[in-house]
Formats: sequence, structure tokens, C-alpha cells
Amino acid sequence: MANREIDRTAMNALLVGLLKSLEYLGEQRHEILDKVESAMLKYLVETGNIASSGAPGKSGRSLTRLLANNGYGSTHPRHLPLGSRPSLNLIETMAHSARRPKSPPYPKRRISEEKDKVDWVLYEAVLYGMTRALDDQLGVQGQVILDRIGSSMLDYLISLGAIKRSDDPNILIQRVIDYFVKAGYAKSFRFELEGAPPDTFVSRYESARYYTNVFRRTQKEGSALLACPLCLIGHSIWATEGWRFGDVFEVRISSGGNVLAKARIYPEGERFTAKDALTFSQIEVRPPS
Amino acid sequence: MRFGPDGARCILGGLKYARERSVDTGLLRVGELIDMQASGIENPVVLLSVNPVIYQTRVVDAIKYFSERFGKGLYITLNKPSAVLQGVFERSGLPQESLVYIDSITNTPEHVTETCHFLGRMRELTDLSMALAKMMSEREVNFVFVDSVSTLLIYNDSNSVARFCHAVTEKLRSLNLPAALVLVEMEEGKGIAAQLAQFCDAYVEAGK
Repeated sequence: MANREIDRTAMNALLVGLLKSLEYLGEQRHEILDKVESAMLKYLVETGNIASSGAPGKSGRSLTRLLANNGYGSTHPRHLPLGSRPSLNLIETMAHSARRPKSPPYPKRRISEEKDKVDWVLYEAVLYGMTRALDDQLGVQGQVILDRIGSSMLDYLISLGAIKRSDDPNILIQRVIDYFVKAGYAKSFRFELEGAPPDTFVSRYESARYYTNVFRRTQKEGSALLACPLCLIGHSIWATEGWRFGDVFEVRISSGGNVLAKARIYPEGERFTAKDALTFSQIEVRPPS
Repeated sequence: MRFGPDGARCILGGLKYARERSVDTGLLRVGELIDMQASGIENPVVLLSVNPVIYQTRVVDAIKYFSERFGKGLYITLNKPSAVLQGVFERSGLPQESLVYIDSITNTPEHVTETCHFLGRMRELTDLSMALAKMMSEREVNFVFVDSVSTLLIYNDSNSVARFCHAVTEKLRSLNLPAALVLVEMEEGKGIAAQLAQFCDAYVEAGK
């Protein structure tokens, strides 16, 4: 049976990773964050987790309730530094709430701030929101930012002590897998390489909600982006070995949430050599007159 | 859209606002920027560096400039399906017959239509270079637009991408064809921008 909750640290890592990956854009990052928020809300409405905007009042209350139940409250403008925007985007609000100290001057709320789990549906909404926003904005090159999110998530989880650093990528990958399985991301995860030399990365998951609920949906909507947090962190680790990951070209998702996904991998090395360039330069091109 | 004290109602109401909100660049048009840097060059090869936030606006702006100045063009799309782009360009006033495409993002087996050579989700630079040579031999095009170099960097090392871009621009110069290479401003692409700028006539930073 699929998990209904995931560790708050995993959600915090995702929020921090998303914000950090856009930091270089300065104030303009809000353009993208606003799109993430819009897509998140669309997801929550369409999955029936908050009321639609056609039900005035109800929609607001249901979202506030969902956020509060997960330990995320709204942020009053007076808590923000002078000169900053008057209010926060939903992603910033959630990240801000996550970092907020639990003692005064912040008022006590009815929310459960001690809860160390968050609803999977909120995690899904963030994953869906960032995929849709980056795909709409940038298309396939949005994967560059997604991969950067993976790198920032790993830094965050290591800094938190949730994952222990290792210089050996195989050890580090295993620790990341152990962390995500324990956090409730999937019941299990195994991977293997296919081909000689390896050219395919095969992933097998048990009960992987990202694939059943988010990936399937974004693929159907025409997006080629992959936002699986475990994969994004994996990409950043393998990148240190010169490996690059291509599209998921085959995916099988069972109704029980078991997943088989195959992605192209490209080992380190030049893929357009001087010889390739020479061959191309020697091709005679005669434009039609 | 902001998350204000009045709760989710303003957030949901903001859905429309976020979609409709346009980026007020307050900047020169791409064409003006190109003209400023390559005014004396008849068929310029331009490296167009675009801020991700206004990427789509700037690409539309640039393709309209190239189309108006040079006529029919070849658009190499590595990011968005050609069908999606055709709709966007048509809505912005660019006639459909202004462009033919090489499309390596639409998930379909390789085939050629009247306006497009679909490569499938192909990531090999050699295949792309062959398709480019073939398309230029078979279709009458007056410029080439590569969207984008940043996508090539996802699957290829920067040396290979730089070599590929160099080979393509040399080929285009031999045919007296102008071109634009789009590069989205990201930390990952900083190194290659300097490399590519060396063999382009102009390096245009279209938007901050």
C-alpha cells in the first residue's frame, strides 16, 4: 500500500532545493515561483484535495486547513525584512514556516508544528508544480534547474545529518536510497545498469507515488522532465563521475505502484569528436535553387 | 500571485493573474540589440543569451526579427515540440510558412513531413548534424535558429557542444546563411558562452 505521508525533512529539502536553485535569478525568481504555485493549486484542486475556486470561501478554507494540518501557516508581512515583498509565494511561505523558530515572538497556532511527517499529496503538489512551471517556462532545458535542485537537496540533507557524506559515489547513492526509503518515498528501490558498455539505467520501485501520481500525469501532459527527487540527487552524484542522464524512454507503472523505468545514460567522454566535425564539414550541402 | 492574510481565495483568484501577467522587460527588442552589435554584417551568426524568466518572449522576438529580415528559416527545436511552437509563433503574428523545423523533442519515430523533420527524442549530435545538412539541401532556407545550446549541455560535455556549434556555424558561413544560437542564462552554461562567443559575430544578452 502506498505511503500517505513523507518525512518533513524530505519536503524541507525539496523546498530549500527549489528556492536555492532559483536564487541566481534574484527578484525575477518570483516569476517562476508564481508559476509553481499556480500549478500546485491546480493539482490540489484537480485531485480533490482542496475545493475549486468555483466555491468561494470554501477553497480558501480547504487550502488553509491542508497547510495548517501539515504545519504550514501563513506569514505576516511584518516578519519580513524591510524592503522585501509585502507577502510571500506559497513555496516561500512553506519554506519560511519550515525554518521558523518555535518560540515567541511567533504566535502559537493550532497547527501541529512538531509533526515530523507531511501529507504525500502536498509533496506531490510541489513536485508537480515545479515540473509544470519549468516545462512551461523552459521546456526540456528546465531539467538543468531540476538537476540543480537535486544537488541542493543533497547538500541540505547532508548538512542536516540526514545523509552521511561519502566520497565514494556508490556508498553515497546507497545512503540516499536508504534515506528516501525510510522517509516514505518508496517501499523499496533497486537499480542496475544495462548494456556493455552501460548505456541504460534501470530503476525498480515498489510503491512509488511520484510515478503513479505525478510522473504519469506530467508525461500525459507532454512534459519530458523528470522530477523524482531520488533521481535528481542521483544525477548530481553520478555527475561527479562524468555521467549524464537522458530521457526516461521506457516506463511501466503497475496499479499497485510498482515501477520499472529505463533511462539513457551517457558516460564521460566526448560525443562529437574532431572526426565527427570533419565528416560534417565534408558533407556537400547544395541548397535547392 | 501572493499568499496574503486573506487566505487561499486570493491565491486561487491569482491563478488567472499569474497566467496573464506579462514580463515588463523595458528592454530593447532583440532585433535592435543584434543591429547594435552586428549592423555591418550581412549574414550575422549571433549567440543569443536569454534570461530564463523571459526566455519565451525573447525567442519569439528573435525569430520574428530573423524572419522579417531574412525570410524563411530553419528552426532546430530541442526544447518544445514543433507543434507547440507553431501555435505560439502563429499567435504572435508569424505566418506558419515562415519556418521549417528539425524537431528532436516530440516523442515519435523519425519521419519527415512537409514542414518538419522529426528525429524523435534523439540526443546524438552526429545525427543532428546529418539532419541539418539534409534539411539545408532539401529546403530553401535563409537562416538557421538553434533553440537551444543549453539543452545540448544536458546530454553532452561542453567540449562536444562547442565543437558541434563551431562545425555548424562554419557550415552556415560557407553557405552565407545567418544564424542564431540560443543559450539560456544558467550557471551551468557560463563556461561555454565564452567559447561560443569566439566564433559568433555578436553576443547578445537579451534580457536581465
